[in-house]
Amino acid sequence: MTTEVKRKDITYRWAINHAVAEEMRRDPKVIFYGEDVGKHGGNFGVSRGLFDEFGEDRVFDTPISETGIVGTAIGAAMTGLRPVVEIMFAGFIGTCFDQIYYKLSDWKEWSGIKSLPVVVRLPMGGGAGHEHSHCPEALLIHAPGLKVVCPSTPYEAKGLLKTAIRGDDPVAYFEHINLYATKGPVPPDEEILIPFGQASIKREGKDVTIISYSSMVFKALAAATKLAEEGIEAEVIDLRTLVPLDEEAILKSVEKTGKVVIAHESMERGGPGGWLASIIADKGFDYLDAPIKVVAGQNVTLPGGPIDPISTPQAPNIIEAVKSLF
Amino acid sequence: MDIPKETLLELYRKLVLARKVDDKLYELNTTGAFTGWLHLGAGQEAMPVAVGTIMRKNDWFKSGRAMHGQVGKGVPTRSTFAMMMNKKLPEGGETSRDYGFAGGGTTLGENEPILVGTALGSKLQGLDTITVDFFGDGTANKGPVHEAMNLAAIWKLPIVFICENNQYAISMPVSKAVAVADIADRAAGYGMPGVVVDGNDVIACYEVAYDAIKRAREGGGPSFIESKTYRLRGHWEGDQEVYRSKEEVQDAWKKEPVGRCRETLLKMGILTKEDVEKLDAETTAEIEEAVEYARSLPTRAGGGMH
Repeated sequence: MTTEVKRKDITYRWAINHAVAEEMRRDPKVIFYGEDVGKHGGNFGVSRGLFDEFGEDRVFDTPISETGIVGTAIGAAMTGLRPVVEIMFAGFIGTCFDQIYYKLSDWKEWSGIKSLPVVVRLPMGGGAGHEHSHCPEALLIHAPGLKVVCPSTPYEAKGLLKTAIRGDDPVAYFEHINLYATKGPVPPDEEILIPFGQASIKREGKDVTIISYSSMVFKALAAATKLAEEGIEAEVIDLRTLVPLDEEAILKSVEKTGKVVIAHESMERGGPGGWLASIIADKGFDYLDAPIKVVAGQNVTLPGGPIDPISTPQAPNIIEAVKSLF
Repeated sequence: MDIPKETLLELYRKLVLARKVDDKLYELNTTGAFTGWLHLGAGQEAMPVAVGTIMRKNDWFKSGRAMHGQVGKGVPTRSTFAMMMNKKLPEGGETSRDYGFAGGGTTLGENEPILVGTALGSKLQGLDTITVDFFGDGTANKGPVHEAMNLAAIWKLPIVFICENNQYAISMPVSKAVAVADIADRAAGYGMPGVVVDGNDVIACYEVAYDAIKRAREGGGPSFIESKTYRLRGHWEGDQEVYRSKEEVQDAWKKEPVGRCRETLLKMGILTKEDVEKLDAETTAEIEEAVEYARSLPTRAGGGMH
C-alpha cells in the first residue's frame, strides 16, 4: 500500500504516509513509533502499511507513555537514529510538556551535541473534543529550539515532513485532523522537499492580506472567494512553518495591501496571532492603513466534539474582520 | 567476587579524588572562582566510582550527585573543573560527553526516558553499549521514572537504573516520601531484578554493579539497584539543614565510604600507609594542576552540562 503510487491526487493522510515511507527507505536510521501506529496503522490510519514494509525493529507500538515516547526519541537520536514519533493528539502535549518544551528544545544547546534529528508528529484540531482537539502550536513557538511546522495541503504535508526528517533539528510537526481526507496533487515521481521558513502565496490580491496556516488556509480561501464577489481582492498567505517564520513574505504582502487579517484556529489569547501582529506593527507600521485584526478561536474551553466549530473561527468570521478594515 | 588488586586500588584512588574534587569545588565557589548554586556530594562517592570503573568509555551514563560520576568514569579532572568554572576547553579537549555522559536536563525524573532512549538506540542498532542511569530517592517518585522503567522492562533494554537513596530529598526524609522500606521493591513490579546494596561499601557496590552491567551487556535486560547511602552535606551549599539533627549527620560521617575503603584495603594488605600518603599527595597535585589549567582557559559563552 505504501509502494505503488499511480494516482496524482492523493490525500493529506497518504502524503504523510508516503513521506515517512520514502525517508525510511532512503535512510535505515529512520525509525517510527508511537501508540497504535504499528499493525493498527495509527489512530487516523496515517501509518497503514509501514509496519508490513519495515517490520517491528523500525515501526513499533508503545504503551500509553507520551513522556516515554518523546524522551526515548531524544536518547535514541543521540545514538545515531532518526526517530519520527507520534503523539496521538496534539492536545496530549500536556502530558509530555517537559520533554518537548524543555528537553527537545534545549537539548542541543545544553548537552553540546551537534544534531538532534527528532520529529514529533502532532495531530491537532478536528472536533474530537476536550483535551483532544487543541491546537497548541503557540506553546511550542515559545520554545527556543524547536521548528514548528503546520502544513495545509497534501503536497506540502509531504514536502515539509521529508525536510523535517532529513534535518538535524527537532521538529514539532502539526498535522491537522480535519485535513486528513482532503486531496491534492502530489506527483509520485518527484522528490518533494520544501524548505522551512518559506511561506506560500495561495491567492494573490491587492486589497487585504490574510495570513493563515494549516486548516485555516482553506477558510481564508473560501472567505477570499466570497470577498471577491464584493470587489475585495484578498491575498492569502500560507505560512507553512511558524518557526522559522517567513517575515519577508508577510511584510512584502502588507506593503502591497496595507491591511492585515491573521486567522488561526487556536485560541486568541496568547495565540500566534498576537506575536505575528506585533512583528507587522513593528516592522510594517508604515505600510498599514488600518488596525491589524486577529481572527481566532474564542477564549473558551473547547465545547467538546462536533460543536467545537462554534468556538473556532470560520470563513464568515474572516469576511467580517476583513470588511471592518474598509 | 575476586576483584583484582589493581581495580581495588583504582577504586580507592577515585574515591579519594572524588571527595577532593567535591571539597575543591566548595573552596572555589566560596572564594568566587565560579558562582551559582552548588550541590556537593560528600558521602555518596562509592556507587558512581564503582560503576564508572566497570563501564566502558562509550557506555552512556547519567550521574547522581556532584562530579562523582565524572570521576568514576575517568573524565579528565581538568575537564570537570573547566566545566564547573564555565571555561572553554581547547580543540580536542575531552568533555564528559566524550565519556558517554547523556544527562543534561535539570528537571528531575525527565532524564530517565532519555537514558532509556540511549539504551533503545543501542539495542536497535545491535551495539554493545549499555546505559547506567542514576537518580535519587526523591526522583524515584516522579511519573516519568515509572514510564521509563516500564519501557526498559517491556523492551528488555540494556540499562541499569541506580537509585541512590541518600535518605533526603532536600528536606523530605525518604520515610515520608516512600511507603515501603526498600525502593528496590518496585523493580519486581516492572519485571526486572532489584537489589539493595550498602552504598557506602565500594566493594559491595562494585559487585552488584558488575552483575547488573554484565546482564545488560549480554542482552539480559534492565536491572534496578538501590544504593543505600547518606547525604553528608546540605542539599546545596547554604542549606541550613533545619530538618535533621547535627548528631545524625556526625554519626553518618563515621560510616562514610572513603575512610571505610581505606581501612578495608589496609586490613587486606592491599594498601600500605605509604600508599595512602602517596595517593593523597598525587590526588591533591592532580586537582591543583587541573584548577590552574582551568583558570588559564577563556570563559565560554554558553552554559551546559558538558
